[in-house]
Amino acid sequence: MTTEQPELVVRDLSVHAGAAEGARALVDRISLTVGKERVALVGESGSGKSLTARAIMGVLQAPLVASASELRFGSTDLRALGPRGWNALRGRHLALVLQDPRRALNAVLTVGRQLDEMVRLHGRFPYAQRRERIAAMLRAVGLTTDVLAAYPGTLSGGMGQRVVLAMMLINDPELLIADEPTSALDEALRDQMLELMCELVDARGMGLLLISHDLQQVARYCDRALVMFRGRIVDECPAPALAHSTHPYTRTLWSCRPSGRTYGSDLPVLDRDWQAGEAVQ
Amino acid sequence: MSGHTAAARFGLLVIAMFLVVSLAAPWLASFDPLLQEIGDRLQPPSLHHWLGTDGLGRDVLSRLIYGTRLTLGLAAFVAALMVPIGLTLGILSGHFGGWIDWVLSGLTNIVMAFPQLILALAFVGALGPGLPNVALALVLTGWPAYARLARAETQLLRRTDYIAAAQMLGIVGPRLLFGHVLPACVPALRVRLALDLAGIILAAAALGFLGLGVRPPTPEWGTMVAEGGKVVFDQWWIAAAPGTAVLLASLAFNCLADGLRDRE
Amino acid sequence: MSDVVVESLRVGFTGGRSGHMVLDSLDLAIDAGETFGVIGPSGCGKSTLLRVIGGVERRWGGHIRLFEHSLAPRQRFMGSLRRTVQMVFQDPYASLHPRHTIERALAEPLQVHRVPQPVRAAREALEEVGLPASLARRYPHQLSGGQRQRVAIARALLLKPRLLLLDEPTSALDLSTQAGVLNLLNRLKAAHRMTLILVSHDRGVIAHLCDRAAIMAAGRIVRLVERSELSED
Repeated sequence: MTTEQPELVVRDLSVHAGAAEGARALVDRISLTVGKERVALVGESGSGKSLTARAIMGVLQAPLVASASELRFGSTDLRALGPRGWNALRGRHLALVLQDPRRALNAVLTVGRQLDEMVRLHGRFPYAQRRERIAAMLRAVGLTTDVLAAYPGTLSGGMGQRVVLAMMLINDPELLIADEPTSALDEALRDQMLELMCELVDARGMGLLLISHDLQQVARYCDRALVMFRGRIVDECPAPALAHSTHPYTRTLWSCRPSGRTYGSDLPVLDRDWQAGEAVQ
Repeated sequence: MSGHTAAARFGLLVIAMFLVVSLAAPWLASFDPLLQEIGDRLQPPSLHHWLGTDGLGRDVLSRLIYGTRLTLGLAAFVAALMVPIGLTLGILSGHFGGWIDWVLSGLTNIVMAFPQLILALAFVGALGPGLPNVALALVLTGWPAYARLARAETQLLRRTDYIAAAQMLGIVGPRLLFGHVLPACVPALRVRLALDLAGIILAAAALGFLGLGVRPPTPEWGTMVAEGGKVVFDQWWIAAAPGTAVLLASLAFNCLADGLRDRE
Repeated sequence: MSDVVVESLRVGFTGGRSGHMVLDSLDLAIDAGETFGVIGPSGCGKSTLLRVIGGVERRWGGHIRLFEHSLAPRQRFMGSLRRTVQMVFQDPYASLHPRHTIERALAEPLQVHRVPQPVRAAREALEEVGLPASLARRYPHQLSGGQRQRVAIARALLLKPRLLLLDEPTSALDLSTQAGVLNLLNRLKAAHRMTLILVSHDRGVIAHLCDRAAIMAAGRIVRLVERSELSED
C-alpha cells in the first residue's frame, strides 16, 4: 500500500569521519521519520544535527562517509542515487534551506533569472506560465515582483532568505529540510521567518525537518522534537512538551537561556563530561 | 590523493634532490667540471661520460651537477634579499598610509611597470656581467611584487579584531608590525615566493644564456645552454641536458607553489 | 556625577542617498560599577560606539570623559588611559592572533607594560577564567569557541581595566557555552569591581547581565530602559 505523501525514512544513519575502520562516528546510528508534519532536530554545535541533514540530502563533503540500513524518501532509495537521480530529486521533491541565504544564491544572476532557472530545471512551461508561477510564489513569501531585477548582494538577510524559500518551494516539493534557517537573521525577524515557513509548509501539505539549536523556537513551531547530543538522539518528545522534559540534557538546554528572570543568578551549565549514557535509540 | 597534492610532492622531491646534488657535488661528480680533454670533445653520452662531453671535452654531467650549486645558490640569495625588502616596504606602506604610502607605492609601481627581465638586463648591462650583478638585478626588480602583497595584506589586517585587540593592549610600533602584522602576511607570501623561484631560475638561465651571467669556465646552466646552442643539431646533449635541468627545477617550484596554494 | 560620560557624539556618514550618521549626537552617562547594556539591530552603530569609547575608532566629534580622563578626537590612548579601558570582541575566531600561542597572547601585553613575571601572570589569568594552564601552549585553532572567548576575556582583564567593553561576547557561542561565559562575566565583574558596557542584539543576554540598557537605532539612542522593565524580558 502506497501512501500519498512520500515519507522520509531514516534508519541507523551514521556519518563517519573517514572510510577507514574505526573512524570516528560523528553521527551514530540515528533513526527518524518525517511525514506530513514538522519535525525538529535540536542540539548544540557538534551534536551532528547539520551532518544528519547533509547526509540525508546527499551533500556530505569528502572525506565524510554516510551509511544507513534504510534511507529512503517515499519509494526512492536515497543511498542508491547517483548524480542524475539527485538532480531530479533535489529542488523538485526535496528542498533544502540553509543558514546563510547568500551562499545559496548565485551572486552574479538576478533573482528573477534564478527563479526562472529553477522552474525550467524541473519542467517545461511556456514563458507566461512561468511568470505567473514566479509571481504567485513571490506573493506567497511576502515579496513583490520588484525583487526580480535585484541581485542577491543587494538584498537584506530576511529578504534573501525569503528568496531562497521561494526558489526552493516553487516546484512544490514534498519535504523541506531547513538547517538553522533563522540563525543569521536579526532576532526580530526570526519568528517572522519561521511563521512564514510553517505557513507555507502547512498550506502546501509538506513535511518539514527543522534543524535548530533554539529549543524555545522549536517548541513554538514544531510538532515533534528529537534532541541530539554527540551524534546520538538522546531525547524524543512532542515539541510543546520540551519545557517539561525529564531528560537531564534537555532540561539543562531549556533552562540555560538568559533572561530578565535569571538576573544576578548563575545559569545552569551542562556538565561537559556527562555521557549520553542511554541514547533513546 | 588529489592531483595537486601529488604534484606538490613531486615538486618537493625534485627540489630536495637538487639540494642534495648541490651539497654533495664533489662526491657525485666523477670528473672535474673544469677539466678539458680536447681529444675527447663532443662525445655522445656513453658509459664513461653519462651525458657526453662538450666542445672543450668537459664532462657535461659533472658540469650540470656543479651548476646546481650556482643555480640554487642564486635563487636562495635573491629570495633572501628580495623578500625582506619588499615585505618591509609593503608593511610600512600599508600600515602608515598617508605620504609614506604615496612615496613607497609610487616607487613600487614605477619599478613594477618594467618587465622584470628587461630591467634586469639593463642593470646587468650597466653593472657588467657576473653572478653577483645578476643576483642584484633580480633583487632590485623582484621586490615590488612582495611590497604590493604585503601592503594589501596589511591593509586587510588593519580591520581584523586581533590587530585591533593588540593595539588596545598597548602593542604598537615595531612590535606590532613585525610580531603581529608580519606573521599574518606570511601565508600569502609563501605561494608567491615558490612561484618566483621558478621564475628566478629561468631569468638567471636567460641572462646566462645571453652571456651576462658567470664568466667561463664556471659551469652554469644558462651559459651551458648557450654553448650547446652552437652545436645543437649534431651534439644535442650539450644543450639538452642543462635545458632539461632548468625545466625540471622550474617545474618543481611551480608544482610546489600549486600545492602550497591549495593548502591555504 | 557619572563616571563615563558621552556627549553629542558624532561619527562619520554611512554614505549613499539613504545614508545616515553612524552615530548621531549620542548622549550617555554611566556610573562606576554599573553594567550597562546597548541593544539594537545590526547597523545601528552600537559596535562603533564601543570602538570609539575603546579608542579603536578615533575619528569622532563631541565630548567623552572616561573617569578622570577627558578624551579628544584622534587621540591615541596611552599609559594609564590605555589600561583603563579594554574590550572583548565579538568573534572568538577572529580576536586571537592565529599564529600566536595562548601564552604569547596573554604574556605579551604584560611584557609591554612591564608587569613582573609575565608568564606566570598569564597562567594565573587562564585559571581565573576557568581554563587549565596546559592550554597556554596551544594555538587558537585548537581551542573551542567557548575556550577562545574565555581567553579573550582573560586577555582583556590583564591590565586591570576599570571599564570593560563587550561587543556581542556570546553571539558566536551556542546556548550552553554562552551560559558558562555569562556566569564567568558575572563573577569577574564583581571580583574586579569593573564598569561594563555590553552590546548585544539578544534581549535575553542584556536582561540577564545588565542593570540598565539603552536601545539604539540608526545611530541614536531611542530610549533608556530601567532594571524594572528589563526584568520582564
